Amino acid sequence: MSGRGTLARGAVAVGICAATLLPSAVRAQGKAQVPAVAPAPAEVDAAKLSKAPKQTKFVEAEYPQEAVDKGITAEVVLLLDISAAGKVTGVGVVEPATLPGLGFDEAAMVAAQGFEFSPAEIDGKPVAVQLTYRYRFTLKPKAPPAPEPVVAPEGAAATPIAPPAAPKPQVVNYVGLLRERGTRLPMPGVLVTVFREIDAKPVGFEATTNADGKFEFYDLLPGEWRVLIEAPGYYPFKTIEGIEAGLATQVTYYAERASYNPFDVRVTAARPRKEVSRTVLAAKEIDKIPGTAGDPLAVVQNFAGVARSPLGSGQIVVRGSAPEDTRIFVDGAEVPLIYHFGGLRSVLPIGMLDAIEFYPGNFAPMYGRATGGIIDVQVKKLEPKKVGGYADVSLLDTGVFLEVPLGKKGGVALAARRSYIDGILNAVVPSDAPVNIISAPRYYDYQLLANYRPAPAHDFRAFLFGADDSLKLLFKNPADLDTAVTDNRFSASTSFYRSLLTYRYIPNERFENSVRLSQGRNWFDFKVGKLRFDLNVYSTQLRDNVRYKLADWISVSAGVDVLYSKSDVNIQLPRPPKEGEPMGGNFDLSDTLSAKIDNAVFWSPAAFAELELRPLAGLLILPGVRVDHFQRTSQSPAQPRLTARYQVTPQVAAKGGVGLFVQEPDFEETDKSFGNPNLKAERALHYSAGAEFKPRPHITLDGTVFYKDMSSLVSRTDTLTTGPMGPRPLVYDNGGTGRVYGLELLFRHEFTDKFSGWLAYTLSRAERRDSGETSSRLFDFDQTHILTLLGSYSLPRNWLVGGRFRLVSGNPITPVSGSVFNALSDRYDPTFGPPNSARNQPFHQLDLRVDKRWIYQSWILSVYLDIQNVYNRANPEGLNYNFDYRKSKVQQGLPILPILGVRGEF
Amino acid sequence: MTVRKRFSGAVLLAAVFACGCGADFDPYNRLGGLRVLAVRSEPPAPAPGETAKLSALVYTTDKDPVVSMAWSWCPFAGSANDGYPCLLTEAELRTMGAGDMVPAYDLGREAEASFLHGVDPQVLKALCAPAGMGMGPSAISAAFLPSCDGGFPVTVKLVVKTAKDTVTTVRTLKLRVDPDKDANANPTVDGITATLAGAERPVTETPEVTLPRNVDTVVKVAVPEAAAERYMGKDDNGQPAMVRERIFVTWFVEAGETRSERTSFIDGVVALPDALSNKWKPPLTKQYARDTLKIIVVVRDDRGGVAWTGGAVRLGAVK
Repeated sequence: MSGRGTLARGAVAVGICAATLLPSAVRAQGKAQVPAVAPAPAEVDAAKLSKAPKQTKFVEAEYPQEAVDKGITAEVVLLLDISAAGKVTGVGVVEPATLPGLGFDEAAMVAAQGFEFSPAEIDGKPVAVQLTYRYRFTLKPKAPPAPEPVVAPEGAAATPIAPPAAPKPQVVNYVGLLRERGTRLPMPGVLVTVFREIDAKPVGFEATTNADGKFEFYDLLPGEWRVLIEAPGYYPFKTIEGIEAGLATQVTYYAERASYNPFDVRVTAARPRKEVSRTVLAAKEIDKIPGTAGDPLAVVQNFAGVARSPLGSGQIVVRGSAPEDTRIFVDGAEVPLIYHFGGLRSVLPIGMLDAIEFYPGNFAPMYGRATGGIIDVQVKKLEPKKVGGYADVSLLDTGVFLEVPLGKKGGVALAARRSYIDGILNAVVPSDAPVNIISAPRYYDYQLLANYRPAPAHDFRAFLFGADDSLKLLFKNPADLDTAVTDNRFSASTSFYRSLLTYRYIPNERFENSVRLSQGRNWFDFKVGKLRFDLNVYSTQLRDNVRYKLADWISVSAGVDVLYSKSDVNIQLPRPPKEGEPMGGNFDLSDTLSAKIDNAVFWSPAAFAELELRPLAGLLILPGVRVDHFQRTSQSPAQPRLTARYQVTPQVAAKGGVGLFVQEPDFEETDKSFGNPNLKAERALHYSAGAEFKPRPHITLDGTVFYKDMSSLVSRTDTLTTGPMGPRPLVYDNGGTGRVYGLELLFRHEFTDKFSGWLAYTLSRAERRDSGETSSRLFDFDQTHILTLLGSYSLPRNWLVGGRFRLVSGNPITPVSGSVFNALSDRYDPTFGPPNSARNQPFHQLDLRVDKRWIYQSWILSVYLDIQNVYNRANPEGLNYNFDYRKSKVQQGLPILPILGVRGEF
Repeated sequence: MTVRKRFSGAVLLAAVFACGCGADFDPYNRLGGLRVLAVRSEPPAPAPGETAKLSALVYTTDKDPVVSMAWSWCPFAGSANDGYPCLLTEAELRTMGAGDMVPAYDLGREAEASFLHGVDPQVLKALCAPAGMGMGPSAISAAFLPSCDGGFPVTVKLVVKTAKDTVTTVRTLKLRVDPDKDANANPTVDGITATLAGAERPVTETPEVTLPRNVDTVVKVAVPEAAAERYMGKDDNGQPAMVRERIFVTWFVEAGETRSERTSFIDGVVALPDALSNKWKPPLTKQYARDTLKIIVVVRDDRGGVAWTGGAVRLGAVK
C-alpha cells in the first residue's frame, strides 16, 4: 500500500467497504434500551435516544487476497460496542461471511476496531450503545493510484499539498514493514502517517499497510519526517525518519500490542448456538485461567455441570454420570484420555488448540456411544503468517511448539513435551527408602499438524498425536504392600496415538461435507506380580457429515460414524469394585480372575440425521435420530433427540431438549470370565430446558434445569444363571437405575482486552438404585453444590492477574462400621455401613495466577506463577484409617502449591 | 474398551502402594492392646477324616486379660464388607448332603479348638465344580465363588474378649479333597536372635539380652530353608508349575520401631536370609519407661501354614 494521499489503494482489486447501519437493537449501558441509527420498530426504548451515533471515522478493511484472486465478495454483520466517547470498545460477529476461512470476518473486525462515532445521547448526555454494522466487501476495477493531499495527523492543521505540476514517474523513497513487536506478525490495514512542517505549515501523508504489513510513500521531500502509527489495541508508535534525496529509505517498525496473547490468535465467529447446553472456550481464554498450572484442558473441570474430581484421578464427571459415560473427542475422533497421569497434564498443548467444546447433555446426534457428556477438543486451524513457536519450561515438564507456513494455503505445526519428574524424584528419594523409582511418573506427548487449502472450498488436514505415560517402581520389601504380592516390581503404562485425516468440502453456502478418518492404538499395561492387565486396542473410526440447506428455513444434516477395533487382552485381576462399592476396603489380591483374548474384533457402526428447521423468525427446531449398532450386546437402538431454541429478542433465548442416549457396557462387564456376556446397553433419557440472556456481546447469563433418567445400568447381582456347565453367578445384570436432576447457572464474561471470567454454579442430586435394591443411594460423585468463580484481568505493562475460587460439596463416602482380623492375609478387613451414607466436608480453595510478559523485538518472554490453594486449606479427599480401622484421619488434598513456568515465544 | 477407568484405577493403586498413607498412626506391628496375631491349624489343610487343631496367638496387656474365646466355623461365609456372615445354617448344610461327620458350627470356648474334616470329599468336589454352584440356596451359591486350589475353603472364626475390648478374627481353612494332594506343613521356627557386638544372642522369654535404646539392632528369626516347601502350584501366568512357598514374617514389638513391619521370602525375588532379618530400634526412656520389651515374630507361608515365637529383652542405656 503506497500513498501520498488518503487511504492509498495499491491492490489490484480493492474492496470497497460499504458500511450500513442496520436497524438493530441498541442498548445503553446501564440504562434503557435505545434505538440505533435507524431505529428498530421492535425496540420500545428507542425513542429515548435523543441523538443517534454517527460514524465519523471509517477504516477500510484489508480485502483478503485469496478472495481478490477468486473474485469473491462477502458481507459480514458485526455487533459493535460504542463507548460514550464514540470509540469502538468491542466487536463481535453476528453473521459471518458465507464462505469461511477466507479472512473476511477477521478483516472486518480489525477494521471496525478503528471506527469512530459521534456519541449517542440521551437527554443530551453521551451514552454507550451497541449496534449492528454490515460490512460489505465488493470488488472494483483496478485504478491507477493517484496521489492526493491529505489531512495532517491529529494536532496538526489539515493542509493539502498540491500534486506535482508536471507528470513524472513516481519514485518510492520510503518503504517500510510494520510488524507486531514480539510475534513479528505483519500488521495489515494499519494507517501510517508521516508529517512535518514545510514553510511553517503542517504537511502530512498517510499510507495503509498491505497484507504483508508493507507500506510505501513516494516523492517525499528530503528531510526529517515524523512518523506516527496508531493501531487499535497497540501502543502508539512514533519515530523520526530522515529522507535523503535520491535514496530510498527502508525501515521495519515493531508496534507493541497493549496486551499480548502468546499465540497467533484468530478472531473467529462463534458457531451459531443450537444445543441446549454448550460451552465453548477459545485457546486465548484458556491460557489465562488460574489454577490450571498452564494446562489447557484442566479448564474443563471448571465448567458448569462438571463435578470436582478427586485429587489425582483426572476423572471427568458430568451431570452425575460416571467418568466412563463421557466421551472425549479431538476434532471428532474419539480418544481414550486427555490427561497424563492422574490429571497432572493434558495430552495436547495449548499451541495446538483452537477451542474446547463441552456438552454436558442433550448433545447432537453426530455424537454417540455416551450417556453422559461430550468434550470435543478443536484443533487449531493453521494459518501461520510466519515461522513461530515457543518453548515452555515448568517444574513438571518442558514442551516445544513450532509452526511453519506453507505458502499462503497451508501450514505445518509440530510439538512435543516430556516430563522430568522421574529425574527429580530419583535425585531426592533417599537410597534407603523402601521403594526405588525406576520411572515415576514419566510422560511425554507429541503432535504433528498439517493444514492445506488449495481452494476456498477445499480444506485438508492431517493430525498425528499421541502420548505415553509410564510408572515403574521397585519395592525393596514387597510384603509391605500385601502378602498376596508375588513380585517386587510394579509397572503401569499407557500409550496411545491417533492419526486423523480430515477433508472438508464447502463448494457453496448450501452444501458442506466433512470426512474424518482416524486410526490409532491404545495400549495399557499394568503388572505387579501375577496381577496384570494388558490391553492392546487398534481402532479405526470413519465419520462423514453432510449438511445441505434445502431452503432458508430448512437444512438437513446426516452422516455415518463407524468404529472398528481389534483388541488383545490379557487380564489377571481381582474383580474390580463397582461404582457404589467402597474403595480401599476389601480388595483380595489373591482372589483373581483371568481372561486372555486375542484378536477380538468389534464393530460399532452408527448413522445419524438431523433436521434444522426455522419455521418462524428466531425459532430453531432440531429433530434428529441416531442409530448405533452394538456388536457385543447385539442391539441397534434408535435414539431420537429433539432440541429447540427460540430467540425471543436479540438478547434473550429460550431453549430445551429431550433425547435418548445409549452406550455399551464396559468390556469387562460383558466378558464371560469377569461378567455377563448377555448384558444390554445402558440408557439415559436427557431432559433440559433453560434460557440465555446476552446483554452484551461478551456477556452471557445462562440458566439450565436438567433431569436425567438412567435405566438398564450395569449392576452387581447375586443372581445365578444356568450355563452349559450348570449354574453360575450372573455377576452383573442391567437391573440398575439412576436419576440426576439439577440446575446450572453460568454468568460468563468472554475474553476482551482486559477481562475474562465466569461464575458457574451447579445444584444437583445424583442417585443410583442397584440391582435388587428397593431404595436409592447417592452416586459416588454426587456433589450438591459446585461453585466456581474465576477471572483474569490484564494490567498495564503486560501483567496479567487471575484467580479461581471453588466451593464444592464433599463427595459421599461409605462409613466404616468395624473390622475383622483376617489371620491368613495378616490384615484387618473393614466392615461398612450403608453405601455413600456419609459425606466428606466441603471443599473450598482459592488459586491465584500472575503472568508477566516481556516483549522483545522478535520474541516474547513469559513467566507465570500459579499458586494453588493460596490459603492452604486442608481440603478433605477422604478418610485414612489405622490398621484396624478404629482410628481415622481426614485425608488432605494438596497443600499450598506454587508452580512456576517460563515460556519463550518467537 | 474403557482405558480411562483402568488407568485411573492403576494410578490409584500405585499411589496407595507408594505413599504409605496414614503414617501418623501407630504402625501395624506395634502392640498396645488386645490383638489376635495369628491363628494356627495343625495341619494347615486337613485331609478327609483328619482333625485340625486350632490355636491362636493372642496378645493383651496384663491389665486387661482375656476373659473369653469363642471358636466357630462356616462353610459359606459372606462378604468381608459385611464381616463374613455365615450364609448357611447348620440345618441347611445337612440338607446338602454334607454328611453326619461334619462338626457343629460352634467349636467351643477353649484356648484351642478341634475341627474334624468330616465332609464327604465327593460333596466337596461337587461344590468346587461349576455345577456345584446350584447345590445350596441360590443367594448363597451366587455370592460364594470358591477358589478350590488346595482344598475347599471354609471359614473359621474366633472372637476374643477382654473386659475392655473385643477382636473378631477369621481365617480360611482349606479342606483337602484328595488325601494324597495339596498337603502342607506349618513352618518351624527356632527362635529369635539379636546381634550385639557382632555376635548373635538368643532372645528368650526371660529377658537375658540387653538392647541399647534408640539404636538399630539387627534381629533375626531362625527358620529352616525347608520351611519354604516346594509343591505343584501355579506360576504367575497361572500355568501349573513346581513352585516354592512364599514366607512372610511379621515382627511385632511392644515399643520402638522396626525397619520393616513385615518381611518376605519370594523365590527368585527376595532371598530367605533377607526375609528373616530386621532392625529394631527400642525407644528412649521418656517414650517407654519400662526396662523390658517383648518381641513376637509370626511366620506364615502362603498356603495357610503358621508358626510363631517370641521373647523379651532388657533395655539398656542410650549410647
